[in-house]
Amino acid sequence: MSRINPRTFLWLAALALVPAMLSGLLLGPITIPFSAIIDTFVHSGLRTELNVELQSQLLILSQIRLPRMLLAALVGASLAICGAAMQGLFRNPLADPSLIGVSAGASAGASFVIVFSGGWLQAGQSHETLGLSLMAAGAFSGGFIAVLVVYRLATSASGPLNRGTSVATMLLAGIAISALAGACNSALSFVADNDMLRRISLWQMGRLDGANWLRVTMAGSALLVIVVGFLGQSKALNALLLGESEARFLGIDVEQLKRRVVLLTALGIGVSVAVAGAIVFVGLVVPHIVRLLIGPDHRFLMPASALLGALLLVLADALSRVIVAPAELPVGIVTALLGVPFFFSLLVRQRTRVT
Amino acid sequence: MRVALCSEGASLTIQHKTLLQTTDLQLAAGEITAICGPNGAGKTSLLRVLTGDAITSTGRICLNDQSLGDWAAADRAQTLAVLPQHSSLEFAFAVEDVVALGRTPHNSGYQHDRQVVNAALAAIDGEQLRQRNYMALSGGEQQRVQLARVLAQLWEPSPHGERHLLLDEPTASLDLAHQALLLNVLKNFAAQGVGICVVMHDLNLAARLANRLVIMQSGAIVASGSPAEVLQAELIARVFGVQIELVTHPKHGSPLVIL
Repeated sequence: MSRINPRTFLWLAALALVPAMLSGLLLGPITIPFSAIIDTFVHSGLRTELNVELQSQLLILSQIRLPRMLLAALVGASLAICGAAMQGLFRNPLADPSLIGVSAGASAGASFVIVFSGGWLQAGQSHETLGLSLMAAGAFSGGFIAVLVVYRLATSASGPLNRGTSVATMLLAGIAISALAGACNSALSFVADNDMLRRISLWQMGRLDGANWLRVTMAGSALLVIVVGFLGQSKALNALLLGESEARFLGIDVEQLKRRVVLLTALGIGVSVAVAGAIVFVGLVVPHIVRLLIGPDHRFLMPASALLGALLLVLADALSRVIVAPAELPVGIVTALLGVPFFFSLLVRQRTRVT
Repeated sequence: MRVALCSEGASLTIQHKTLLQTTDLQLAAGEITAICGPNGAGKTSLLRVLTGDAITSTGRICLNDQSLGDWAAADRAQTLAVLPQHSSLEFAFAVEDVVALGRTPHNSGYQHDRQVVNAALAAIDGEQLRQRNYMALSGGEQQRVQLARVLAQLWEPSPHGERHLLLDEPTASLDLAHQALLLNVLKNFAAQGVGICVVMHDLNLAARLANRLVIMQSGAIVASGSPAEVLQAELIARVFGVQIELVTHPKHGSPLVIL
């Protein structure tokens, strides 16, 4: 097989992330020269000496572009690594958080919190940490329930002897969950006031323009937890690809593995949805590309997916800011445009393999 | 005879349907046992109960003097390996990575595992498959790679007691040459003290391979003993419902069933 050495690929992806992150800082309605970034780091203690133009550029960089770029990278990495782990759990390359209803469940959970936490969430900056944490908790719960339900349905439907995951059931369960979550969202929108409505609509469509340092911290902590957690399960996930019984014969505690992957996925998707809304298809496209390039070994697939997911979302976000400048496109639209053709090609390939 | 894996009155009932009646069976280290019987006789159910894949409805399974459920998962995997009838692996691993999955329960280090993987691949005549994409292999080649995986799992003696290898119709998709190869591999493993239990449809192949033949019908064991004792025209007629002729293998002396 003509594949890239997994270790080489990890280095290449990490290296490619540097120019991508730089372009994420420089591109936008106001193009900032490269020298301004250097000035930010060199002169950060000497702002008084700088002229007005440079000062405004520094402000844009440190308060808008930098947190936004970092948030894109962190969310992209979380979504991609969760996608990779979930595809391992379902033993199917079509299992994507946004396709099987996890993102929808998470956004319903977030809407629930927005509406029922009442007025004090909107009281202003003082409650932002608490509000965002509550929303993340709501999104986590919604996502958790969705993964659990879909997994139970998709794996029990195939009977005791063939314990593979049924793709059809998995996607259908995803549709059902998404519909239910959509109905919840509509019901919640119905009782919500104007401000709540605006906030709810944010979760339906992934976007990064709400980026600030609080969100970056939150996404960063969640990513740290899930990367450490997932890497600890990588050997077990490899064994699980053989089948549940086979993994048990290889000494894997399959029930514990499932519990952990479901929890970590719900955490990753829940926090991503809380800070950036439901950004679709990153969890589908990225692990798929990585698998083609370096193979399905989770020890490399998961870190490589995280790096490539960060790269993809940073670039997609930069793109979303320049395509229709000075306005900007929600980044979820860009990733959907990239992801849908991929999804179709995967579906066609699965069809030809089954029939 | 060292009894190392045994069923003590184990039975299996799923949704009011008895798949396996109360069964006593002893498998000894270094011995090859073949389980034969018509479709739906409970062969696979017996295998699933013996391996802990299905929880017994009554009775218990004993592995090296300890109840199967009391084993730590990783320790058990060092002494008991199973080759299922079908493999559901749908990801494009390289062949050597699939075989290396058999080393999951061992913490023997990358270099050592690699040697075991290469040796296991050599044992199944699969050295030239090493770098190939598993998904691009034929059914028979995939079956051999899966066999190499379970061989790698039990490659060395375990500190936790006698090793056991259970196989569900391993010859189903193999050509004649590789069926012969499989018999040799299993006999070699048995000679090293591994207890082998294999579900088979081909009575002649079973008679050539096994020290002991177990015949099942309607979820129960109806005959057990050496191939010469068990393979009787009357029994075959009763269990399989066909009239056969029995002759003796001109070279090996084992019974031959002719339809």
